[in-house]
Amino acid sequence: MTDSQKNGASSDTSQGDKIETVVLQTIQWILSKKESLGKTAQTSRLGAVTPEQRLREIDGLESLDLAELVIRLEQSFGFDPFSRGVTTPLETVADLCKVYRTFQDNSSGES
Amino acid sequence: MFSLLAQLLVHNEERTSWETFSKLPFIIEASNVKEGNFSKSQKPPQSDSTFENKEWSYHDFLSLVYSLREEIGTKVQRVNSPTKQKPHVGLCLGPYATSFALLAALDSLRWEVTLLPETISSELLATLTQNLDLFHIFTPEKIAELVRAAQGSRPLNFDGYREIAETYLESPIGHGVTIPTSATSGKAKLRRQTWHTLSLPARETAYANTASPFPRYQVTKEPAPRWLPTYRPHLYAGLQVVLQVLATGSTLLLSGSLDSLSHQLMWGGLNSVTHLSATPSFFRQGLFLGLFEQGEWPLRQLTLGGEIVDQPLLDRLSEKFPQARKTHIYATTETGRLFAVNDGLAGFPTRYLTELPMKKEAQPKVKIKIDEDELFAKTDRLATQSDSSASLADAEGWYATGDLVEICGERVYFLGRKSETINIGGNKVQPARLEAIFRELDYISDIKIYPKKSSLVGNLLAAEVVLTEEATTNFGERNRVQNMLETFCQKNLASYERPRFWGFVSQIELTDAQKKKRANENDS
Repeated sequence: MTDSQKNGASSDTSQGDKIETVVLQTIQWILSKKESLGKTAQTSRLGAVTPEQRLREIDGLESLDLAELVIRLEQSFGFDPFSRGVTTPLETVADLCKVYRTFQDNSSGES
Repeated sequence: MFSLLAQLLVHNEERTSWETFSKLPFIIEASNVKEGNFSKSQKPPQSDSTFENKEWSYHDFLSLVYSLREEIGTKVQRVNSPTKQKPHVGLCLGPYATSFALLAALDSLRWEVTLLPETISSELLATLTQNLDLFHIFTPEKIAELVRAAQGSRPLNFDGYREIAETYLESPIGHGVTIPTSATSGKAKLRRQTWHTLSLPARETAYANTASPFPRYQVTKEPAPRWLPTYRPHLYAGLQVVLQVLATGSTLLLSGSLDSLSHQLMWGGLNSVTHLSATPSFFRQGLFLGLFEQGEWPLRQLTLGGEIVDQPLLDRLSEKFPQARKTHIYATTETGRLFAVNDGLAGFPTRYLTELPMKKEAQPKVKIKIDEDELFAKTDRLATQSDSSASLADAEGWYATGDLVEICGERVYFLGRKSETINIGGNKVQPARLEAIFRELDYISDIKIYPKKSSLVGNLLAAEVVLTEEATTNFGERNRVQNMLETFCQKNLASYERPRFWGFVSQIELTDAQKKKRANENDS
């Protein structure tokens, strides 16, 4: 059972928005941490991460950062869709949010 | 084990010489040991006045061994053993005189023993009894019961003792003991060694210069060593300390509990420890917690083993204990002791690859080589698997130790365990090697690097950090320290080598073998 199920959360629009907010915040947290260490993106770009942005085009976000993102999102949401064999092609941040939303909808429909 | 006791008896041919020797202390144990059980609710004693030690002379110990032997040989066997074959039993070996006496008694009867940890769940107990086909398991409760019963039996006289000892020494040497490996990751395996092989290093040390174990301390008037063991006695390293003490007629100091490092060292500081055998992690924590500042530490010998020894630790130990000899033992449960390094430097000389330094008395049958960065050993003392007759060595007799090494100039350095290699998106990382880099930073006291499972790249690295006291006071906020650490990583490490998750702790948890616990946190 996931954390959100325990809380009795439903998969309505506000829950979907919550996922998007957490995903965007976590990406920005990872980027700002890297930036504060003197590398990667400019401060001005940090605020610019949007759902439409392609993951591979986000300045400074490397594949290991994506792996870190997925672990941190698991800490927030209580589940990791990729550990259950999700293979949906991911282009944009919105695609990533969709994977989490779909996974949550499916699991709340179970049992 | 019993053979060492038997030799003490047989070598002291005269009753008077045995009477003098047998009064010497064999075991000194903290008084909170009650009938083989350390009361866990009892808080570690805080001051000198709360300690009341119990002393076991060699004579006290031997008479308990003989009484237990009598008790088991008659009652236990008669009630339980269905056949005339020597039984195979399990023994939950705690750090107490009574459980060592039972081990010696079982050995004197030539029973096969599998050593088990002191505390063991009842489910595991049932599984083990069935899987290993054990006919009996001596739990701490059963040991206490047996000791109570044995104490009522009639003691033998000196001639009776000697007769049993002589018969034992004349009979074949094939029976043995099964020991769990000190797995730092994954499950422990059971390995069988004969008592004869197991006690070889102890006998070689004891009889190196003389034919008998006693004259060394009696003739030179040098006080006999007082050993403080820190390893669980049911593991290879822990058992070696007990055998070493028995073979040399020294004294074993038992603090009553191995659960708390501060309790052990606080008690040790009050009992004039001269010989201390522990893992580098144990020494690091003891130094960090200032535990060697309390009491008296007249150390003559520091023995390090079980983990990689690095130069900063050796330097700190030399500074703190300039008079003590520092020895790094390289041993595995499977091969026994392979070699020792005494020159105060990390790693070992490359010339050991051509020829290992050996005492003249020992048969030079141990060899080592490096193959694809892994250390291999060839020895006629190799353990066997407890549940299979297949050899642990390859067709040419080489045993893969699982330890990765690299040659740098005239020295071979250990990099870490092959099984602890962490795969990060195809890149391989040795956690022990990274830890050594971090330990060079003056604000880090100790660090543990471990894998965090990632569904995308296999693993990412996480770190558990113990800061020095100075750093904790000066830097105040952990965020600032974490930032310093991350900046250090950015400058000095490849991106896959950088820990992404940081935790700050006051102490790093150690396994039963006093090594860092490295199993993946997601593994079950």
